Amino acid sequence: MKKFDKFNEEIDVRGNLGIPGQPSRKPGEPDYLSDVTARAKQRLGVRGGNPMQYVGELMQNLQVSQQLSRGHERELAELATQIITDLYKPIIDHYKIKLDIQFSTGRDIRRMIDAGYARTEHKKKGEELTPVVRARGVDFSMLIHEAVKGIWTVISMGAVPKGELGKAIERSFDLSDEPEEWMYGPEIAADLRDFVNESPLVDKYPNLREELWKHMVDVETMPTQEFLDLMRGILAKTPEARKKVDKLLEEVSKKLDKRAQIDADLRRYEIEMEKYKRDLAEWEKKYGHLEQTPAPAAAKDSGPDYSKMSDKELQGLLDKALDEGDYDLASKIASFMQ
Amino acid sequence: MRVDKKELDKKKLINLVTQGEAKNTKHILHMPEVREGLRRILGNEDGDALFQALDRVSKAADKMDWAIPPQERGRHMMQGGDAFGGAFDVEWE
Repeated sequence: MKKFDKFNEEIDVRGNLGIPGQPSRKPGEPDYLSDVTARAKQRLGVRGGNPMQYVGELMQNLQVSQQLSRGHERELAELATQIITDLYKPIIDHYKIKLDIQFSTGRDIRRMIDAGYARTEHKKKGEELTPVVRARGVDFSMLIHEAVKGIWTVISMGAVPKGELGKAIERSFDLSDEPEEWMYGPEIAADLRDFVNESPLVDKYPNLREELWKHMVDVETMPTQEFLDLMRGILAKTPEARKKVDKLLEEVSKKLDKRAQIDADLRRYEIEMEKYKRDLAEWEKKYGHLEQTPAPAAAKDSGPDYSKMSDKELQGLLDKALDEGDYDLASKIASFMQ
Repeated sequence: MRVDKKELDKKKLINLVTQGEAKNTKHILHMPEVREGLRRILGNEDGDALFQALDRVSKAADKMDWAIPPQERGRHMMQGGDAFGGAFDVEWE
């Protein structure tokens, strides 16, 4: 049963233009879906027989895990938060992601889903807000699973066009699409990971894969057709995709170098500001009794409207501000960047 | 509003990779940091028992994904099964 307001029925992995062999095989292309089906079933040891055996095994062990976790939910949630923070530290720091990870009951999770399936609010450009990933699960593994989904959702925020088109795309998917994603998703993600990991740059830059993904899916940095062609090439392991991914990784790593420099500059500025505030407080303590000439009122800010600028324009202005040592302005511009 | 198939294919791939990354990350259960963390919280015996139970749940879930047709599971989910294993949302503060 599909959602009543679901506009586009049956968005199946079959026929997806970003998957090799779909909707038909190009010369030399693998039949990707058949290949990964065989690969996954062999790895997991899935053979015929009654699938209910797996349901029983899952329920039995879930019960054991819940019994053992009882009374330790808070500490286990803290452990999950720590593990996720360690795993995604550069991403969490840069995008200022707050994690809210807690155990919950199956019924409460159902209510959360009914309240808005995988609800994701999109930040309006220029708003000085930070994303909060709320992950709820009935056991420790589910906390990890849902938190990772939340982080990847934040990374992919720029992927959907704004406005009615974006809303229509979001409404085209619902819970019923998930089981297919549980099957093919891990295989596709693993192939993407292995392809990216062939680059020596991954050892130097933690979370390089996530940053590459952000670049690939963002409507401002890669058109949809180019994204689909690239995914198809990555999954088919073509030399063209290798060349393109290596070039993109070079670009992304340069951007990360620049970001690290900006972060270091801003940190230095913050330290200098702290010192200045301490010196000022000290000075006021010593000479505060003397009459002060009121400072002239600050001129009304009539600067450019950063909220209407693209990230590329903002980056240019940010670089200029940093070159000129204007860290106040740099900090202001940085807050408008996605 | 009808949506261009290419946009839907892109979104589907994003959903697949997001779900895949989440499922693949569950393997960190085997990392020493996690196993030691479970032992620290629950004690050695219960910590190891929890690890075993979580690992079995995860493996059984992976097998179910391939053994039960996705259409059947999707139908079941939409019909409002009483309990779910997890959920997330993203808000801005």
